[in-house]
Amino acid sequence: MTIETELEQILDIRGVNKAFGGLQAVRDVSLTVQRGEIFGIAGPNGSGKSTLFNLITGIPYGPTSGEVHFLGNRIDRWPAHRIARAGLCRTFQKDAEFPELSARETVLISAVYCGVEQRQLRERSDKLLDDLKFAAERRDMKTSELSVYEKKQLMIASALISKPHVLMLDEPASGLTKPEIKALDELLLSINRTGVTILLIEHVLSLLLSLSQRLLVLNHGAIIAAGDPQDVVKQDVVIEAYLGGRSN
Amino acid sequence: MNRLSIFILPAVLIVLLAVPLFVEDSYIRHLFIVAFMYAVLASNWDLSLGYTGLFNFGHMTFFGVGVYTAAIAAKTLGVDPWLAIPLSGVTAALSALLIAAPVARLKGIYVVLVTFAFSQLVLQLILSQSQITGGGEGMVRLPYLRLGDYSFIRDYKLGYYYVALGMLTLSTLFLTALVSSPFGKSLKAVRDNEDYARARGISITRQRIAVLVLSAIFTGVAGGFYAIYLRVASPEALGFGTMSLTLSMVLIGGVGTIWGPVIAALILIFATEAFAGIRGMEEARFIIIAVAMILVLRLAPGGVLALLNRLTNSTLGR
Repeated sequence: MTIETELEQILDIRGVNKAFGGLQAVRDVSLTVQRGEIFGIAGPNGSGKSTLFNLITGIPYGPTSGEVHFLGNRIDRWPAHRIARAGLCRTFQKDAEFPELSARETVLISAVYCGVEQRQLRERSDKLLDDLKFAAERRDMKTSELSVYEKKQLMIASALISKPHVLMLDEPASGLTKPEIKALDELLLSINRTGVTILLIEHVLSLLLSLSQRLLVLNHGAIIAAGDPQDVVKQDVVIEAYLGGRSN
Repeated sequence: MNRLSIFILPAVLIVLLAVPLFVEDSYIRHLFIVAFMYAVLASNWDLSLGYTGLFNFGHMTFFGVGVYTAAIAAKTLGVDPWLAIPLSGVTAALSALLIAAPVARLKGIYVVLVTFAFSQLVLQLILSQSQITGGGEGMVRLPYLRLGDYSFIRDYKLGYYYVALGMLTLSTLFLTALVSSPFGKSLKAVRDNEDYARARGISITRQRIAVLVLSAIFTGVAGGFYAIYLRVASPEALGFGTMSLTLSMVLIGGVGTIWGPVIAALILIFATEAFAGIRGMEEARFIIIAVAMILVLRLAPGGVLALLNRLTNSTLGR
């Protein structure tokens, strides 16, 4: 199944597959993402959402077959660091961190290796952390000492410092409280308004529906529905697979 | 830099500079020289092992390459020992580049196996090429350091003491600058979370190659100095005893600290020599090092430096 658009494509995934021995984790998935949109990806646990992110970014593996095109370049054989430097940055489902580095250092090294000019480093990282409302007094603390929300903020900040074209967020709301989810909602909207395209995997359906302009649902590694989020969630196949039964 | 680095360590350097004024005994000075050399070896090993988490068991190969480079250059080719010593750093870095290519893409136990196999390969090469290296007997009576008419053997090793201290100071400054730079921070990032590091544009392969080469430079220089100072190049330099003693310095001093292995080298060289002087304890000293290593790993995994930091922080009321 394919989800298509006629607007400017930034990311084009063509029939990607991933097999682990006999297990087909992702099955013939094709989709295109247009510049500037927020594209949601949903599905029950184990449906292949994070694996799809892995295949696109090459972390830790690429697809068994199929193609990934980004800004007109075929990237599915590129090393992962090159994909990131090209402007396709992701976050991780679990709180990824560099425990011995401070928040400021985490952002700085991301900037250095994604080609931000040396003289702009400190100014730009401070401004970004300001924009993300990251507490100034906690920027020099070791990452391992930060709260879950701060770690999520930091993961996003370290991706944004390189001014990526596409930001891929893997369940950013997991482990957050309701007020924190509301703050995250506002944060992601403000990032998107700056022109950053967002691919969003999320289990918190309210967040996904409020943010996404288009939604794709995976089950057993294959696309079962795609399109307008409000329409998609009403489809029987989605209700059965994702919500676990027929809604009222 | 923490308080220990800012205040105490420069003071230690001043004390070390003054040591020869008070210590005229040639043997004590020799122990200092050997300790300085081991400190260079251990702190540079810490760069790859501690900072990058690369289980590189071929580090002593870089030392051995340095030893034989200086020996062959100075004795066989007639190169001035002052040039032969830095040349050892160059050849050690080149040998690191050679091993880095296959190692950079490996993980965990495979890194141990390949680097260990590489060290055995170099050892066999040295033993088999006896017409160049002296084989199992090594090379002796190497040229010593001179400055004009002044021989460094004179004055109870005074000259060698300051050359060794200078080498340790340069190496430690180099390592400290390196680990404080964005490159150094990225090494910790690679060690702690490879996937996240890749996702932020860091090439794991390139970082590993760079770190192996950088950690080999002063290790090779130390090897060159060792050969010129002792006037001997022997396969012992690549032996298990030298490797295990250096590794114990890294672990007891504190992995991922640079300064820790430097401090541990000074402590262990003098402690082992102290035990060697006690009747019946000549061989027991190695058992004591092993026990110390187990105790540190079990009770204070941060090593001696972490303990010192804790002590200074509590004394200064932090």
